Amino acid sequence: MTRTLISETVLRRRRGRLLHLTAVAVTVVVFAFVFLFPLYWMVTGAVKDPDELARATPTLIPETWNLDSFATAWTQLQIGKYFLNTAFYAVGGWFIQIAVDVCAAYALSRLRPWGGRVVLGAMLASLMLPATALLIPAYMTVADVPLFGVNLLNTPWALWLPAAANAFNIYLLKRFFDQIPGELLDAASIDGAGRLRILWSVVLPLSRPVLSVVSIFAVIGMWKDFLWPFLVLQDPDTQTLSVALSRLANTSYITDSEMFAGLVIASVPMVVIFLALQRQILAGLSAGGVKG
Amino acid sequence: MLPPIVVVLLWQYFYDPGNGLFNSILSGIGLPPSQWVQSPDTAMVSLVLVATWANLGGTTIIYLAALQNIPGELYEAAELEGASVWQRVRHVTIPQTRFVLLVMLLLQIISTMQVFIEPYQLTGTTNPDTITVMVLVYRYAFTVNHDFGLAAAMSVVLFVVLALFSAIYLRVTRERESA
Repeated sequence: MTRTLISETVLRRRRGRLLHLTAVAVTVVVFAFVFLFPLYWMVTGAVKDPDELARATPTLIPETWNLDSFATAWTQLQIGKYFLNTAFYAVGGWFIQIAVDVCAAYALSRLRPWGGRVVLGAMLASLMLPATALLIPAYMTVADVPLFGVNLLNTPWALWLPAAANAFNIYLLKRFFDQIPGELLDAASIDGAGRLRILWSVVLPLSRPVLSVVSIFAVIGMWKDFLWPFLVLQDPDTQTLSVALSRLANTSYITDSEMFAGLVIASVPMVVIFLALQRQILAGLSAGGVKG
Repeated sequence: MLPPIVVVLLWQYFYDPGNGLFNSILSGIGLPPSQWVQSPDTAMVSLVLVATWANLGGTTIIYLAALQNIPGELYEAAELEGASVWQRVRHVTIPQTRFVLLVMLLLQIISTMQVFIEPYQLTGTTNPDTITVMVLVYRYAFTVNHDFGLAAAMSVVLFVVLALFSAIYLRVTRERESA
């Protein structure tokens, strides 16, 4: 064990060990409570029946385990439809983001077109712009795409196209592609592989770690986003789960337990992704996290 | 890890002045109920609490990594010099994590200045006590006025202020990398 704030000699003494144990136990319990209790409240809120929820003194342990609220929320409030909407946006957005960003990064890293440095510089400069500063111009672009003159509002493209132009992902992928030894690519090209073939059969298989990080964050980002889908998907039929939940919360069509059920349904995919891919996410957080 | 709107809607229930969880707890320990987001005095504090809880997981992980990176020898040396536990925290832990603390503060400022979802959902976009820049941008562009020009101008002002903090952030991280 490595040395920490408290030395082992102190820990060997009775009083020291007792103090240390108490401090650790109190911290663990308080933090676990603060982290988990709201989640516990959300899940139990969904299974309590409406009378129990409406009581002045809330019950800590639900008296009823009523799973109906999930069923009504899923079908009658169309949470199911919004869930599938969001899943469709997330998967489609992930695919387009990877396709565009990989091609852009490959071009900048390996094909080195004329003016590539200028393009890269411009993209890096755009990283300085927070998404919120671009909100209005982006909205106006999507509402009336220049040159094409089409309106993308209330279509999946309103989410996918702005997400595809992700300068940070392109930069991350480019840096990774830069590190792939040139000899490998030369060998492939001597064997007669074209540039696309090299990308597909040499570069991509070697880039699995960075691709998985980019993919995870793309899907999570699409799932969690609120402000942008809220603005561009005003038509209820096209909305994501987050936007629909916010809209339903401001109406009286939904009972409290159905709302809790909706919140649980919206959280489950994120919790599953986090538990399944914890290692990659934490690695991505510490690599990109301090970058923000 | 939860979608932000889930956190905000969940806390909306906690803050319910009628039979919300927080008021039930307050009355349980014999304190008067609070209006939380509906009172001008507590609205802002309530929003801060939500945002803090929402970011707790991520920031804890980053701070934990920073604490684990402190070389144990430093504590040992300090202890041999006779430093108490508090002195060790003050003179070893805090200086050693100073960089992470500073970076997190800057990132926090940058992200909090762009906050929208908490005031939008919990206190409404017309509440004068909790107006943020993004709420104002939204109000001018998408509700009554439809004045995209004015809203875009506000975003530019916000960008200039944020650029200042981004510049400090870049400087701090560069210095660290070159050191």
